[in-house]
Formats: sequence, structure tokens, C-alpha cells
Amino acid sequence: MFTFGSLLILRRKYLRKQLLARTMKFSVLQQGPDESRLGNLSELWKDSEKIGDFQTPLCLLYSRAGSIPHLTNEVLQYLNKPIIPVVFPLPSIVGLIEPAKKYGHGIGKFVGLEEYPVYISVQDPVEPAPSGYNDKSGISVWSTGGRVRLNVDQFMAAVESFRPAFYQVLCDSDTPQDSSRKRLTHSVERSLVHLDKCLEKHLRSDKLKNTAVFGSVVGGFSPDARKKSAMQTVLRPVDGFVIDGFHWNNSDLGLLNTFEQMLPILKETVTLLPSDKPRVLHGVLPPDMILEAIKCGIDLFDASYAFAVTERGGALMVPVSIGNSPGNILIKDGLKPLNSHFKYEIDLKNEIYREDFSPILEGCACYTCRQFSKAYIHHLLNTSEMLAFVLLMLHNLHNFLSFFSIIRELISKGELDKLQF
Amino acid sequence: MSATSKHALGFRVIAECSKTKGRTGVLSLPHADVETPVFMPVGTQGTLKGLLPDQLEKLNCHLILGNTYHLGMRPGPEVLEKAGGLHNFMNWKKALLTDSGGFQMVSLLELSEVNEEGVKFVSPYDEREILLSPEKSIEIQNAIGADIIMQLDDVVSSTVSGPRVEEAMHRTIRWLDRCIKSHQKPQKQNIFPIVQGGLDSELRKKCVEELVKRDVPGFAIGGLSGGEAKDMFWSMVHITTDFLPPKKPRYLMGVGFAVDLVVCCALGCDMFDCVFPTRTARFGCALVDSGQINLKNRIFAEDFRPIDEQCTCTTCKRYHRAYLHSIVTKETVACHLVTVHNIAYQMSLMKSIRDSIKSDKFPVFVQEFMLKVYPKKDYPKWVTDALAAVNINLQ
Ligand SMILES: [Zn+2]
Ligand SMILES: [Zn+2]
Repeated sequence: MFTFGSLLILRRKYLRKQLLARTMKFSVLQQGPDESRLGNLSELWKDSEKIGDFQTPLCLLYSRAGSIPHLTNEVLQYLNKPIIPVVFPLPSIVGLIEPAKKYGHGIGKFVGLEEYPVYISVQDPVEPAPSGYNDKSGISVWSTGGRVRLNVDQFMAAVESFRPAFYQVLCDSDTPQDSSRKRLTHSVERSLVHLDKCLEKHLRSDKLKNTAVFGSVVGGFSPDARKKSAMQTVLRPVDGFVIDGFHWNNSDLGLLNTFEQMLPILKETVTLLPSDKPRVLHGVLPPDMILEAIKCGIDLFDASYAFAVTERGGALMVPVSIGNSPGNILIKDGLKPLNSHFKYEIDLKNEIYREDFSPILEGCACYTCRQFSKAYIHHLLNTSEMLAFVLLMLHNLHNFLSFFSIIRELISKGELDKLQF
Repeated sequence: MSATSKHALGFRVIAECSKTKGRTGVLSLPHADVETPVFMPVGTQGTLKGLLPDQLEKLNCHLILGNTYHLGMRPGPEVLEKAGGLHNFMNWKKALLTDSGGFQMVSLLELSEVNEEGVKFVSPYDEREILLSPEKSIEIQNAIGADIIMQLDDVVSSTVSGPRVEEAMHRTIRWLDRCIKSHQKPQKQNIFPIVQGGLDSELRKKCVEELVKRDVPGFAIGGLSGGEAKDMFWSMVHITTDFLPPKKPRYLMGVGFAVDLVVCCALGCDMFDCVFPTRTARFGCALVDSGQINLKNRIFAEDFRPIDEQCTCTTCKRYHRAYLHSIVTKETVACHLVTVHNIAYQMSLMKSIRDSIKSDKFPVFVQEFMLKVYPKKDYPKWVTDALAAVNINLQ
């Protein structure tokens, strides 16, 4: 690990860079109940143009292989929502490092999403990353072509060719719930070494002079390891934090259980972070867990949940308007939750929708609900037609993003406590 | 609407090529006015390969095809009836055409058996034995509610010859009468008879003579494009369009390759359909004037040009080959992007044909087009022969 002296040098370089360069800004506008807050993210840089403001808590769009799943740029515009930064999970774009470098205009333009600020996460919130493939020199990510090893140099070269507005620094977040003490120590210490090496390169890079960098707080489910990781990471000159290493991926049906064990640790960890910098939590998280995480002080999430629901033929039914009883989940006939965490969706593959010509969610302003019926989407799912997933993705994304709008509105009115699941 | 006002269809020829049999016109249907010659993409199960209906409209596509066999199975005529027809069900505001279901059955189902009653087959979904009679086909097509519907015909492979072909031709005529008789919505839906007769010009002629005795709004040319020799294919098209009345639209079934489209427009056909442009997109094949490019090919890994620099489709305006190369056959988005381009290609080809006929420059267009496809002038003999038959010399 780096000495205190070298840390000072790093910080000095960072401060100098802060004076010269223009990177992302974040400010807390209003404090809500518990640790929740309404924030503002601005000056995300895309080439020489700055984009913002984005109010937090914010759901970033989730992409895989460079596209919002099932939605071409043309169809994405039917979402009818303002531009939001897009998460590009590194595993799904690792094959594009070389072509993007030759292309030279960044990954956003490379994949036809040039209007959207790019954020790169180290792992994919949806795809499970097998355990046991990280070592001292670097980490492994799993692309469709198999395992790809990345050390700091390769990682930073990738970041330079992708030219994101902000990115999560290389980290070892391979800490399943049953991790040994040794594994947790490795995760924390190696992540800090990676962070320092990445920062060295980052601060020297001309290509990344407008790019914001997020450090990773790791340490799995150990409060001690988390504390050490958080306290060391905050000493580094980073623009934000990703709370990583909770391994949602590998715990599909045990998510709720995992979440309950995670929550006190998350709460504790966030209190160690400076309040003037944004915090990210990735994962396929349903609305109630999102709300809990927001109350722990998380600002940024990703829309992988909307994607996961779409993939199983589900349609989200989160109430999207603040009426007399905000947060009152619509339980309609046919809302048959498969288990406790599918409670926000209906299963459109169900035969009961065969002749149901009403929209997915009455009053939903999304393109799908304005134009198509449950019966039609049921038919498309039944015949394995791709349009089913296009229409579901449009609705689910719209619904999930609207849920975040409601949360922001409630915080600004000082009424977040009214939202209960 | 037009001369054939008792049908829900008008056909007005705007311009005819002075050299070939090519013509351009407007086909007025209950849901859209469609310029001909027209290519109709195939949306088998009430959707076109993941595209929104809105995207199709923006591509200037105003007439698409649905398959009666598939739609009859799922969602089934009862659901479609309750939905108020396929237009409502899939939210498609423009025109639709449905086939009779017969072709699909004979080609998809090994267990089908044809007799005078109809086509008997075993449902792949619940293994019930089902009879698709001419009446049943029309009943389903009435529930679907397409602007143009097809008679049930007795389909014989174009590689079969002998008495079976003649039997099928006569049966097709008998079935036409049963279809017309059972058709419930002639004021809203136009039924097209299908010219059969295999590769026998006498049978084709006889078939047309019988069909024109019936009062029908247009004609389909069937039983071709099924693997027969190309010189038989074009000469059958040529003979059939010679016999057909000039004032009614002619729909050549199952044709959609660019070269075939250009030749058959010269032979006087007005409407075409084919699954190829959308099916090939799924495998990462994009249509260009020189044929098609397979985006999976490694040579595109760092090719930052659009599929076609001339193309104005939303895919070519935003995406380059290198990115498409990385996602074709892996991501549904790639399939959507290539499908958009391929439909745009077909639409733009047909527009070029129409425009050149309007300005009476169609023969020059054909020569230039063929040179782009065959830059070495190694034209297939059937193309040279077919075009020579309508006074276009490729040499
Ligand atoms: Zn909706
Ligand atoms: Zn194009």
C-alpha cells in the first residue's frame, strides 16, 4: 500500500487538477428523513461539452454490450424521458476496448448513444461474476467470450479509450457472504492498491482531464473490513464512491435475506463517507430496497431491475403518481406475485391476460401503455416475439424511472416518510 | 374510389414504362393509399421482427403481410375478433394483407393432407386434427380483418409436374368460388384469387381465363419462387402478366430479392412479399446494392462506416459497422437495427423503381442497377433473357 507521503502527493496533484480542470460537481440540496438527501449532479463532461443538472436520488440507465437492452437509440426516444447517464458495465464492453481506441470518440458515440453521459462500472449488476479469479495484479471480468483479465494498466487504457464522464476505479469486490477473513483483507487491500495506481495514471492522463473518478468501498459483509475500506478510500482524491462487493448477483432468490444483512453495514459505511460526494449502489434492487438504500444515503442506482423484470416477461406496477395515498401499491386482479420480491409486477405470460385489452397500468403515460394492451403483449410473449421485450422494457423503464421522480418529489416536499411499502 | 368501386380497393395506374411492362400506380385500400410497385415486409404473428408500428410508418411502409396460419393458431380468431381485428390488436393503422394459410401448412407441416374439402393437418400445439377449408380460411381472415385477403389455393411445389399440377389448378378455381361465397366482409376486405398452373404456360393461361370470369379486385400469382429453375420462373411470370387484365393489381407471391424485384417489375408485377430481408437481418446480414454484407465477418470489426453511406435510415445515420459487428446475433438490438436498414433498403429500391417509371427512365435504371449488382457484367442468363423479353438490353 502507498505511504502517507505518497498520498499527500496524490492529493496535491488532485487539487491542482481540480483547479485546472472541470470535472463533475455534486451538491446536497436538501436533507430528507434518515440519511436520505436530494442532490444535484452537474457538469458531467462529454468531450468538450458539459451535461447536467441531474437530481438525485437518480436511476442510471443500464446498458449491456453498449445498448439499453432491446432498445435501439430510435426506440429509446419513445421513453420520453430526459437524457440520463448510462451505466456501461465493463464486462459487457471489454471486447470493444481496441475498436473504441481506434475510433477515438469514446464508447458513447461508438455505440450510438453519444448524447448520453457515460459511466463505467467494474462489474455487471445483472451478470454473476464467478468467484476466485482475482489476484494481486488485477481482476477478472466475464464477457460473452469468456474470462478477461485486467490489470491496472489495461484497465486505465480501457478507460482512456472509452472516455467516460465518470467511472468506478478497478477494485476487487469478490466477497461472497461466506468469504474468509483472508479474502476480505485481500479485497480491501488490493482494491486500495488498485485505486492508488489508477489515480496515479488518472491524474497524469490528458484524455481523462474532465473525467470524474469514483473509488470503491469494498469489504463484503464484514463491518470491520468495510470500515477500513471506507476510511482509507475517503483519504484518496476521488469524486464519488461506489459501495461494492455485496454480491447481489449470486444470491438471486436470497436477495431479500442478503439485503437485510447488508442494510446495517451499508448504513454504517455511508456514515464514514463525506456528505458532499455522491454514492453509488449497484444491483437488481426492487423499489422497497431502493427506498431503504436511499434512506442510508445512497444517491445513484442503475436500472438493471427494470431489465431483469422484462427478461422474465414481467410488467412493473409501481404506482407512478402521488395521489391521496402515496406509495399505495396497486394490487389488481391478476397481480400474482411469484414470491416476495416479485410483488411489484404482473406476469404477462399468464393465460389470464389472453383477452385483457386494457393497458398494463391504467394512467401510465408510457408509450406501451398508451398504444398496446396486455393481451397483445401476452400474445407476443406467447409466440416469443422480440417486440414483447421492446414494449415491456419501455414500460418497465418508464415506471422505474418515474418511481425515482416520485422519491425526489417527496424528499423535496419533506414527505418521503409517507412512502411505505 | 375507382373504377372497381364495388370492391374496397381502387387501383390507378399513374405511369407506364414505354419499353417494358413496368407500371407505377396507387393502390387505394381501406387503411392506406399504397404506391406500387410495392414490397410488403412479412409480419408473421402480428408484429414485424421487434419493430414498433410507428417505426414501420416512418420507413414509409404502408402495407405489411400477416400469416393466417400463425394468427389463426395464436392468438386465434376469437381473440382477434374481440380485439376488433388485427389492426387494433397490434396497433397498426396502415394496410394489411393476409395469406390463406394453405402455403404455410403444406410447407411447414409434414402431416398435412389435401383433398377436395381442404387441407387437413395436425396442430403442433395441441395435436388436434384440424381442417383448413376454403370457408375456414376466409372465416379466420375475416376475423383478422386485413385490407387484402387471399383465397385458399391448392399449393403444389413448383418442382412437381404432371397431372397433380392440373388437378391443383382446377381445385384452386373451385375453392375460389367457395371462398367468395363465404366471404363476410367484401365491402371492407378484398379477396384476391391465385393464379396456379405450375410451370405449364397452357395451364396458367387456362387458370387466368377462369379467374377473370369472377369479379375480383386483383390477382395473385402463386406457385412460383419455390426452387424452380430461374428461366422457368421468369417466363411463367411473363406469360401470366400477359394474360392478366391491365387495370387490376398483380401480386407476385414470395418474391423479394432485389434482382428478382427489378426484373419482375419490368415484367409488370405490382406487389411483392418475402421474409428474406427481415429473416436475414437476424443473422447479421445487411442488404446493399452489391447484394448483402454479413456484419459478423471480422473485416467489419474496425470499420467505422455505416452499412450504406447513401442510406438515410435511422441505423445508418447513427450506427457504424464496427459496433454492429460486435452485437449481431448476440443482442436483439442488433437485429432491430439491421431489420430497420433492410426494410429501408427494400422501400428505397421500390421507390427508385417507381420514380424511374414516372420519369420514363426505368430501362436506364434497370441497366444501372444490374451493373451495380454485377460490376463485371457477368449477368445471369435468366436476367439477360427476362429483360430482353421486355426490350432491355444489358450488354
Ligand atoms: Zn406503461
Ligand atoms: Zn440504412
